[in-house]
Amino acid sequence: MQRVESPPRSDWQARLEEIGLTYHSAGVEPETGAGGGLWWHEASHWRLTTAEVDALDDATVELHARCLDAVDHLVNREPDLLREAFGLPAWFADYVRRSWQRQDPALMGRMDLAFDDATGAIKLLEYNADTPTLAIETAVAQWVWLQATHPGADQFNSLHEKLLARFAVLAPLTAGRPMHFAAFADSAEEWAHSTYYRDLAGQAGIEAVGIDLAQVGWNREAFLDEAGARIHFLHKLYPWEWMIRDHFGPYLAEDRCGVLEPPWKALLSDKAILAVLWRLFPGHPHLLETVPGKTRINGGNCVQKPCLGREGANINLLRAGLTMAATDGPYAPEDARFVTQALAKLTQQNGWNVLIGSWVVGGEAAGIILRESQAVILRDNSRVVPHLFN
Amino acid sequence: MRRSRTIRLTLLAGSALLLHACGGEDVDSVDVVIPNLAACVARFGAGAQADCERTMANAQQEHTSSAPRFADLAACREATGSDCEEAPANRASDKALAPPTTGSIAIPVLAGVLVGRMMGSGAGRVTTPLYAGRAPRECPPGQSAALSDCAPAGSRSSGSTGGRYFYSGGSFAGSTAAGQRGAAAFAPSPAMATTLASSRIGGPATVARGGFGASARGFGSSS
Repeated sequence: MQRVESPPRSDWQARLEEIGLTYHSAGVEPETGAGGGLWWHEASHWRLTTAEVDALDDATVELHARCLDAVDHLVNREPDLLREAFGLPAWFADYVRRSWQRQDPALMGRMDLAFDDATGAIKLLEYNADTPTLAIETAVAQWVWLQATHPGADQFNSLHEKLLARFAVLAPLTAGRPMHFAAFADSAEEWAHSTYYRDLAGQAGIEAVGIDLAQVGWNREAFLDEAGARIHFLHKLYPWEWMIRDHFGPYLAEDRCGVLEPPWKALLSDKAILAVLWRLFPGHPHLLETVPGKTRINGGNCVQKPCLGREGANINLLRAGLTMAATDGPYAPEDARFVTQALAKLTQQNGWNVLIGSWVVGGEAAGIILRESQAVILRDNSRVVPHLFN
Repeated sequence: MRRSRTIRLTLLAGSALLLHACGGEDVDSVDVVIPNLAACVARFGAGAQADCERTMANAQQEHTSSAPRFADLAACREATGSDCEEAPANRASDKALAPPTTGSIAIPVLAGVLVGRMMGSGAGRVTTPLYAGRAPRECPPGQSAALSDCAPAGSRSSGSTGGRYFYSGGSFAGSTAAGQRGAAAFAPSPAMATTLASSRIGGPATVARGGFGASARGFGSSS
């Protein structure tokens, strides 16, 4: 991989707003000129080789298959772990098992991968299988950037067409009934993503209806939209671990509506799955040693992270047993579950670390989006940068 | 990946609609029906030209898919009380509906776009395509008020003297008063008012709302 600094498009903010990406600067006045943006950043990009792209593609497909193995193992062979290791209430554990056993269809997920370009090692850091964001940045923003700036180059990015194809597979399952897409209407990033999925679903022949999550109604028999119409299928950008704590959560388990992502995805988006994966596939080339709890492994070169943390929050990074970096955040209450994962090496150039978000749609790899940071723990405010390969 | 492609966006490209207030003092606190591009620009200012063009184009596209379908123009006019136009029978259900001789169906014409007031924290505006129709509960032509639960055609409910009535999908959406040109202040139906007040929690007594979202306080739900 090679980090390249290049001038951003002179009108990059307007170009992003045109495709619905209005939150390109995290609410901060966008920096113009060579500084590029604060969230979306195109004053730098990364260049990969075809061989690197092929390796990332293969690793993503392999990891997703092993993740499905792990879900199947938990549901069918060690269901007690849903309560003991994942802390799920009994009703939700049953719902998860049911949703897996009847094969509730899924849409998408994004793995965070550590790729060390010196050795070629690709390791799974975590799997955002339930509520991944960065889809617009990946599928649209960086593709449009590539066309404008490097029209001769290629990009590991088939997210848009794979999502469209996936919705076309889901369309007949809706039997002509609408699908409701719920998100927080006052969150620009969430609403834009929900709108993007509605756009794709509509193009695939699904009647797509947008709804503010807080406006979802329940009349003791069914979920209803604002107009009082029944919600048969609910696409959400709100994680399962929060849905199950909410007042309406248990009503979902009455199976009055289908949900995307389905309940079984809650197992993959919980970092406890990383310890299960390592136990089932010890020494797998794309897995990092991971154990439950906050402990020290791998000669003290390890990362302790909360099972339900997000955006790089509440993470401790240790080298030789000493904490070298730590982030704060709201995801580590006293009863929070943790895993400890062996430290992985990220590609680093000129002080910039790069993390690879690798998309899965259906069972296929669907492209990547990169984040770079000068800190070793990448966070929600780390830059999103485009890539190309040739 | 590894080949050129074209990304087609319809809804998302329109979602950036902010239509910043310009001039009119009530522009952020009143819902309006905008009949055409010129009225949109007149209300939101010349700077909104591109947003207005996109809004009108999106509304037309959305209307084409959300409007009720009829086998022919006569059936459409009779049922909706609106001007109607032919549209290609694209969906499977359209093809079933369309007479085999024409291959097209009829839908009411787009009468305008409902542009809602600015939502909280400048999140944008709700926009919905509307078609015009007869007063709600007025009997369709040929239907007797004595036999059906409807009002005789041509009768006007009190207070509505020649205003226009608008529909969205199959539902009455609201009305505008008579004699307004350009962007007209819109009085939404109760159902549409609920839709517009998307930040409001609550709703009809038998339907509980607000049961999702509480766990997000202080968090971002992305990952």
